[in-house]
Amino acid sequence: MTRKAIKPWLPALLLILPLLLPAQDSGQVQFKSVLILENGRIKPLDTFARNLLKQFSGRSTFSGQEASVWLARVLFTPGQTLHDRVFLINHSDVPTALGIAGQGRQRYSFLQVEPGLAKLRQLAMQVAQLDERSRSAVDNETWRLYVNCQIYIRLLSACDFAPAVEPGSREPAGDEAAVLAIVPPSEAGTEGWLSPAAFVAGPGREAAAAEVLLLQEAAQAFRSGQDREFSRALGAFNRSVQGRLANGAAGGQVSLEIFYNGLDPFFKAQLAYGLALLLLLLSLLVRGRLLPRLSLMLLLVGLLFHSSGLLARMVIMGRPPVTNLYETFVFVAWVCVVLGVALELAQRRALGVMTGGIAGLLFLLVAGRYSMEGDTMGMLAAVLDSNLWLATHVATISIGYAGCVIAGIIGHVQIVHRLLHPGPSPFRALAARSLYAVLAFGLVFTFIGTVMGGIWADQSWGRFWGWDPKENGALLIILWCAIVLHARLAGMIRELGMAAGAVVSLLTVVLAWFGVNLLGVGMHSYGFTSGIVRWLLAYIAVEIAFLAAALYLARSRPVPRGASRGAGAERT
Amino acid sequence: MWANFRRWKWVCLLSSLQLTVLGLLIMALLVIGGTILQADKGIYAAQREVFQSWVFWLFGLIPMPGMLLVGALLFVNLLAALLLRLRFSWSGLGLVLVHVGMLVLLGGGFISSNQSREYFMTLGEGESSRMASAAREWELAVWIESGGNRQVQAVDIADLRPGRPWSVPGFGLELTVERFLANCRSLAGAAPGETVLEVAPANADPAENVPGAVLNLRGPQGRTERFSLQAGDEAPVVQRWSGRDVHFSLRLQRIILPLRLTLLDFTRTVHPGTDLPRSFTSRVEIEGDGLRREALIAMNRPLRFRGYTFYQSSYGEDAQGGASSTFAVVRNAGRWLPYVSSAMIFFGLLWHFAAQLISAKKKSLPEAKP
Repeated sequence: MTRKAIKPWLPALLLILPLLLPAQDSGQVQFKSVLILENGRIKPLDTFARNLLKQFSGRSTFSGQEASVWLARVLFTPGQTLHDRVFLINHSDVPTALGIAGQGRQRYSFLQVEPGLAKLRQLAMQVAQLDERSRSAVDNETWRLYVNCQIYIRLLSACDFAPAVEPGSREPAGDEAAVLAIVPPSEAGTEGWLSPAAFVAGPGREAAAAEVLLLQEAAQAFRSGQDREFSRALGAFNRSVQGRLANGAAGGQVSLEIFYNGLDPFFKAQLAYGLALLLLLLSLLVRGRLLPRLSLMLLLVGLLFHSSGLLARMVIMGRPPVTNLYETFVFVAWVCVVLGVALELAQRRALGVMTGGIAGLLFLLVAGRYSMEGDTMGMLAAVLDSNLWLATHVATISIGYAGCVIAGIIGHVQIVHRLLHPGPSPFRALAARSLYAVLAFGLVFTFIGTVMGGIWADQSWGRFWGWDPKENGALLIILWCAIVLHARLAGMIRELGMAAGAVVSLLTVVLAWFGVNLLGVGMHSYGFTSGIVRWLLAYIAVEIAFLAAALYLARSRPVPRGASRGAGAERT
Repeated sequence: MWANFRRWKWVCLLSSLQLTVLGLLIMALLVIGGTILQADKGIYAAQREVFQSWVFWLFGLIPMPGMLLVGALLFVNLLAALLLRLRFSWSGLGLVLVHVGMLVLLGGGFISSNQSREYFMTLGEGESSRMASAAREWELAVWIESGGNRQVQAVDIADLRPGRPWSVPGFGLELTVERFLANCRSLAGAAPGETVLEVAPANADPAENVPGAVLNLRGPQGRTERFSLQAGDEAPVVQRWSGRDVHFSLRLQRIILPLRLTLLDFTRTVHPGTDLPRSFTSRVEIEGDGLRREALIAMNRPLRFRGYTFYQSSYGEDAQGGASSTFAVVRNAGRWLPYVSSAMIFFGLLWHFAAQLISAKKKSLPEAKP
């Protein structure tokens, strides 16, 4: 027992090991720990650099080096980065419209984009006039490129310590000052922070003058390649800034965030889940108990990374696990894997590993796409600022979603299995029992979560229920689960009908989860909304195919009458 | 005759699971339809046409059961099932509790949708008031002023149908609405003291409408007057009747609260370096029930007082840096019902699935041996 329990830790330890070794270049470590105020949150420059590079290029590294290395070059040796191909253009119409060389989806350097800058600005201004919902993919891509170029141009001069104009002669414009806000101007650091260049150019502020001098020394050292000096100057800068912040980011949380960034736990979890599924596939060819056991172990390894990532985020933000759409994907994926593991431990028939692995992998992939939009750890608007309700309502309803998702996947498995093996099967009987249990689990948690949402709404707006699309989405899931469970009780549907019903319940979850967001308020994303509609339609088409398969099964095989009627009813 | 009423066909039908499934299916379809309608025509239209209606007209032609009707159907079905079918045993207790809770939830929803009233109150810093007004319900107010005192009579405009006279109590006047305009504009160029109204297309949300009415008045000696009244902030129409100036105004319905609220201070904070709001807080003073105390009204932190609940709803800031705060004032007799029903359903589900789990364990034990 003990030996078995220890095993999954070993590969995990191997994966973490490189992070525990002492860092090689200490200057970079200090650079990563520089604090920056962005979107209302004080965070390490490491996070800023990763998100920025991801936003620019769709990757979090540049030519094999970490994002922070690239950012340091942009700030301190700007001229050398003009050739870096970091501007990803996703649509081939954009370079054509700008009249710049190159075609297709590829990465461009700033020098390549530069000839089209005037044109880009003109086009972007036109896009800005458009309603967000009526923008095309090309419009969104144009706007994204424009924003990225603007940020890059400002970054080029953000550490310009010798302003062209007299110091104090002008107040920097808001955006300009905020692009690299690493200098807190006031003693307590509560007001908006400034970029070094904006600080130097701004009216005489004494509080941080010594710190900006340290930055200047660091820049000097970076240019001449003296890592020890670079490290010393930035270290002194960091100590000085952190000393001034009364209740700002604690040092522990900053280093935890840097560790979290380096660990990239959700990517490693994806890898482990993917491998687990692969081994499971292999086990269809190779008999024996080794492969299924190994795949469960890999699932557990993935879960370990997944859990540590969730935990790290909770500690960094001081929040419950779910506060935004990105985190719903991560958290629902996590609950799905936990449910899968529980199912596997109870039955040992590979059903748990399969369903948990599929859900975990898919939702983490979706989450990965969302992380392209920028920092996934955002600050909360006033109405959401309640840890009690975030922890109860949001977490509970996410658990409910996860239950319905697992039930839906089991439904798919049942239908496929029955297509391949039409005869009676003990595996399917087992799957049917699991499906019932998981669907009931999903119903209970979705219901409780929805009611808690009602209570929260009553507390903050004075109404328990307001027929808001998101509320309706949750209600739809509840109604559908109730329909399936009551129809089963009434004998209207049996095994196959339940499977088809669970497939539809997965569909309702997906619609309530993101379909609803597309209906009303446009999602705050560049080039993603139109993409998601395509995926959603494709997904619905797949589900229709599955339901058609279920109907075909019900009609064509001599199965009990009840199941046939059931599958028909599910299609409504 | 009553002995085997459980077998009567209609009783069986009313308590049947098939009816439950049908009702839930229609409800699910209504939820989908109402949500799509809402994206198209706004929340108010969706509520009026689907979610708070007995009959819903599909494409304006085909009558479909509205949410209230389906709710009522499920209520009856649930009640019948509870009385006739569910087992009152230890293991069945969970399901009984769940279904009683559902009954309370459906009933509570019905009460809320009828009883709940929402008003708004806007105060500048330093201002105080004991009055709140509705968002979209209008009233016709008639008053005379004498020595700083007002003698007011008001009536819900929805009760004043054309042709049904309202004798204003204490004024000796009889008022008839000749025509009611849901949304209108006043025409320019009319003679001073006279309003001419023109019909305007109604908005999807009545809160954006400016209603108007053409009124006929009959006084003591058979004297009659006819005039138009437009809602809004403009000065009331004043007419001289029996030596007194009588004021007429079409205004948002008002209620007198059991307390006087004074806004002492409104603060809004943002996350540093952004426009993202972090908190909205109003510091107020309450005066009522012979006491006077300070209180805070903030996001997720309403103030409750004698059946009324005050929520931070919105705010305004003028160029001089002065702030105003708007509170939603809600009175809902069924407010506590969802809490009771949710608790019942929660514990019922817990009981039910725990009982199922235990019985499944018991069953599976003998199987596990061979």
